[in-house]
Amino acid sequence: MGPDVAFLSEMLNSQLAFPLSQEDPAAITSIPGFLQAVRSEPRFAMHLADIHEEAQQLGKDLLSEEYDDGNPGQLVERALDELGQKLAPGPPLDEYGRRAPTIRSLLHDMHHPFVLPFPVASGEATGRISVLLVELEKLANLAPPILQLETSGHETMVARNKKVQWRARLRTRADPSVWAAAAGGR
Amino acid sequence: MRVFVLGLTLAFGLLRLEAVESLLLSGTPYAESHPKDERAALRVEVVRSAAGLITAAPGGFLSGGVKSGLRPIVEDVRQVAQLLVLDLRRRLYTVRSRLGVLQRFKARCEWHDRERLRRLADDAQQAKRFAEHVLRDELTRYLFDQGLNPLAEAVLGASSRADVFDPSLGPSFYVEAKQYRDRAAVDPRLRAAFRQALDTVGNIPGSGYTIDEAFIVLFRRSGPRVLLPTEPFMAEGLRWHFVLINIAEASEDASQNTETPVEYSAESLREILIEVGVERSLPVPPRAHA
Repeated sequence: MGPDVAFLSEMLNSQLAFPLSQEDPAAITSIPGFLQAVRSEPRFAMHLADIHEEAQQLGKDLLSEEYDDGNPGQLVERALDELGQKLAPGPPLDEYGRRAPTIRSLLHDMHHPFVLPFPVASGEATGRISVLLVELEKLANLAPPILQLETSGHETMVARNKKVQWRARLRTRADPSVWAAAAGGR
Repeated sequence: MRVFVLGLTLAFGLLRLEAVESLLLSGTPYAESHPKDERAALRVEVVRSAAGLITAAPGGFLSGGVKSGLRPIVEDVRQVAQLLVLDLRRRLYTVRSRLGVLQRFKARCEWHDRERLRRLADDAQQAKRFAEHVLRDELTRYLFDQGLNPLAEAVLGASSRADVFDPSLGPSFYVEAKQYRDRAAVDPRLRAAFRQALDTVGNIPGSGYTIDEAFIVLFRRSGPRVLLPTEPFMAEGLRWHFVLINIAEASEDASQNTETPVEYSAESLREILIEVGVERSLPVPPRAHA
């Protein structure tokens, strides 16, 4: 394998030693330096490019799951149109007017990538489908009886989104909920 | 299996580190894989509640609240950095060990086995057989002796034959062996090697096998030396390595060889590879009837 492997391996160890040895949480600021050092060595840079390729492929797989082979937004769009037609003038319709453009822009942003939140255990919504669902929930508070027409489809989508996100987190192997679920025999 | 899981972990992990990096350096709280097409990329976003904590870190004094909020994030980042180093080391050793085995074979041929190999190739040629096949078989046997499980002339798909292919470990690697005796043969042989490699690799998707590296091994029996790049390059989804094995007579070697070497840079080989790829995609002209 040659002496260069030993040298490169040693270089990796020394780059990692600093962020690992720091007790202070401010050690997080050493991450840019760590990454830049690894990238600056061409024999590591090519492997980082490979990992990006793998992320790309993984993103494609997850995206197709998230989109359910094409059109997950159709259900949301139908519910949104129906709400717009049936809401009474006044505050509910004003609120609808404020939220609808966000939802429509998310609906048409079909190239939005699959998004995983970091830290993975956070409950904050990121990504097109997750944000759409949160927005829809808020609108549901305006006109519950109307939205109930679409409830079964909506629930399916919520469940699907949860499953896809969970599968993604399973792949990270760092989300506490994954370990907890595994321990509980989920 | 462990390696597979590690690989998946890494894709997210690297993006997590890069999201932290881009937040600290440019205020952009996300990182994504480099998309080749418009659809599909994997993105990791630092969520709003964590972004505030991370950007507070370079500010010097950290309150107790910020520190305790940062702790799980820093733990995650440390774990990811460790995994990244572990995986980089694994990848480094895999590539270097394959290359190392081929370099060892090169040294074995050039130092201890020149005459026998040259004679084998000459005899094959006189017997109207392909000289490159006997040299390739020597390489296959050597790889087998080194603990790999190579298949020579493995049929992949309808008609593609891989010179040397090891399906026992995924992602696998592929070796295309060629030989030359004069200057005029060098370029056509390299083109043929690329063509055969691309044909073979084109048959791989969906087969259950994956190939991530191709080694083009060029035996010099006579003629000018060929100078090939020492570092690999990426093209067509493969990392290409080049090894010249010199089995020419000593009288044609070193100071006694007056022929100017033929030099190929990584860039010129990449261009040839692209040309070959384009030629392959063109329709085959109909054969003229006799």
